[in-house]
Amino acid sequence: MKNFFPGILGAFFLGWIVQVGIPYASLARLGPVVDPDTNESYPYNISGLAQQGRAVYAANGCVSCHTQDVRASYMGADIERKWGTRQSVARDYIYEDAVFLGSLRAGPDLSSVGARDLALTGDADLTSVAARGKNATWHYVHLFNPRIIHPKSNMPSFSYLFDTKKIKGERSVKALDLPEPYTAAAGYEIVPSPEAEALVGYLLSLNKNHDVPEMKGAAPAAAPAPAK
Amino acid sequence: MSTSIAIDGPETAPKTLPSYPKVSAADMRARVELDQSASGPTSLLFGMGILWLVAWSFINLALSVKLLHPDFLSGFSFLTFGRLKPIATAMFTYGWATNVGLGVALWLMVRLCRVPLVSPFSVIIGTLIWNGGLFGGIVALHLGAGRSLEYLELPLWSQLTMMGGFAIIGVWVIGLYFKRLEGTGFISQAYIVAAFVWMAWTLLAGNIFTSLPWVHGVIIAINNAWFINGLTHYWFTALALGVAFYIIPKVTGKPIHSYYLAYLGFWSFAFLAGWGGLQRYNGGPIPVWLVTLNIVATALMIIPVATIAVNHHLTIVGSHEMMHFSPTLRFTVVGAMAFTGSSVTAIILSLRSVAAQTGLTYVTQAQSHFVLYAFYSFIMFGAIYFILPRIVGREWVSSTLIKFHFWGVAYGIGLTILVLTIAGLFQGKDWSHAQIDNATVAQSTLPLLRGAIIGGLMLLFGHLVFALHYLLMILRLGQISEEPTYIASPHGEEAH
Repeated sequence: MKNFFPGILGAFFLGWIVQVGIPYASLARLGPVVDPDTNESYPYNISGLAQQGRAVYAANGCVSCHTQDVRASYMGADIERKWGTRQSVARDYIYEDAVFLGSLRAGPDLSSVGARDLALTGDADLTSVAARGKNATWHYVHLFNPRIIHPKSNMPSFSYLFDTKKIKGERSVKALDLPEPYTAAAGYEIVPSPEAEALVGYLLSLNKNHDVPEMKGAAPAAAPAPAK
Repeated sequence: MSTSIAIDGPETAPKTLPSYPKVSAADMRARVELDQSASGPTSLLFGMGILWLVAWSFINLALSVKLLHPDFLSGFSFLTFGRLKPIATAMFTYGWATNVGLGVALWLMVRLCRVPLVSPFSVIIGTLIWNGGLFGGIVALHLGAGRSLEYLELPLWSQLTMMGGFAIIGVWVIGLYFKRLEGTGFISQAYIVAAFVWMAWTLLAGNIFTSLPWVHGVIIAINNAWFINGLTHYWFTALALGVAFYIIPKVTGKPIHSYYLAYLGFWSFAFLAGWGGLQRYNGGPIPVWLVTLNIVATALMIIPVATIAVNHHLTIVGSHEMMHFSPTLRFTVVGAMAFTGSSVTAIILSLRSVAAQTGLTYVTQAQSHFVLYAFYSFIMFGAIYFILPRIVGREWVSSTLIKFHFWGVAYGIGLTILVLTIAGLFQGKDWSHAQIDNATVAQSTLPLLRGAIIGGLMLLFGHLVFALHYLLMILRLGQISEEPTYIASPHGEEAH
């Protein structure tokens, strides 16, 4: 067994090079897609609030039940379910330093939940402030207790992300309008904590429904990777 | 306390027990000295492992209840489902599985290399550092410091602390290998030494790569899947195979059927085991060639698996009746069968047509229970039943407690795997029909998941019995006997 240690180390590193090293070398070259007409760059840069929300998403283990991975049509009905307009590709994640692909779907995929029509019906313009406001309200109520919206849901309540406060003077504009039996006691109101606001900001920022060259016949050329 | 188990005179010598090779008095004394040198750290590692296992049982049960009753304990951030899930994983893998694995490996290496452990104290320090880092990391997870990376959920500082503890223990274990007496070459040594080398690199590479500031994007998920596969194959599977290759010949009193097959099995395992795990992202945002390569590599694992399984089987064949009374062999053989079973299901689940239905469902969780519990943990239970009497100098207190433990965990894990598999198949089928809405998909799995609560209760019962029995042994309340505690008499009468 004089070749024992070289053998086991060789086996290990050969696996690492093929499984991690080579994919890293090839994926690290991916850069954003820039539309030559509008100069719009994809993946979108997300706001500071959404960045904080991403940390709240990680801290509370949302990935335990929700994926962010729209699989190809040969692997399921993800696209048919409107979780995304196309399969997720590596380029979608280039700015993310924790990637919430997930391994279990106890609930729906959230890849593009920010682009999804939750509170509204029909083809509402989700870029309008009013529409985003309605979607945000939907998320607050749903996070506070998902059974207010879906009586059969088995998602846990995240009521700990909300504060019950005594109403001083006028009711806060942020206060949730909740049905019985979820309402606060008389003279009190339930408002989202900064964590809840960040989390909802993050959820609304999730939108991977953008054309990319690898998922389309003809597309604008990819811009070179930003120098780091 | 210690009502002696029937020790019949030599005239009624059992027909079913093998004739073990005669051990000279001097050799016996040497073995006792070796065992004593490692007794402190080994029993501490077992104790830590069992403590984490009991803690895991409660968290696991709470998670099963939460899936059905989402408002159960949901008012506290530190007890929310998404935080408890990674905590349960960390408790099981780094708490229970790694602690007992280290303990079994340490004792086995002392025995196999015939070198006493020079500094049990430093191994104890290593154990405390490992568990201290883990405990701190778990508190941090409760408080919301999770990285949301499966098996890499613990914060970096916690993993680095644990690696320090692991390095201390590892140095002593590999040191034993270099000091081994001539002629002690044994396939178990190869698996155990390799497992320590591989685990050290896996922990280091997996954690550091994730934390590099310039590493972004899908490669983090790829590294994560590589890490999970490495931990499962290169640490847990390698350790358990090493232990099985020691226990099976030892208890059946027969040499390993074929050394040639054993070496073929080892080297084919070494070169193939690292090439799997990425098939979990089948149809997802990683290069398709990588998924295909992993499916092929997973299928090729049939070579080491078949080689190892055939070797185990041919060693046991003719001694199967010993499973009725030897707790060690009963746990080990069930574990060895689960190794073959879970390896075959891993191949089936990696196929694209199957994964389209089972990927991202409870089936994947059933599979990890199959590997880490039914295979790995059963082998470790068997090993503890073999080792603990030798380090405390007493036989197990009660065959009833052993039986309760065995049936509790066997039915508990069997039921858990069964209901998760069926629930996952329903879940996969429902998700693939776009007209079934989200809440209905979740709802359809719930009646089945009730079974997971019952399974969790059985596991908890089995673990509490085992923990009690361990405690009685450590307090030296075990039986002083010439013969191991059998769960049924090999002499053709009921055990007491």
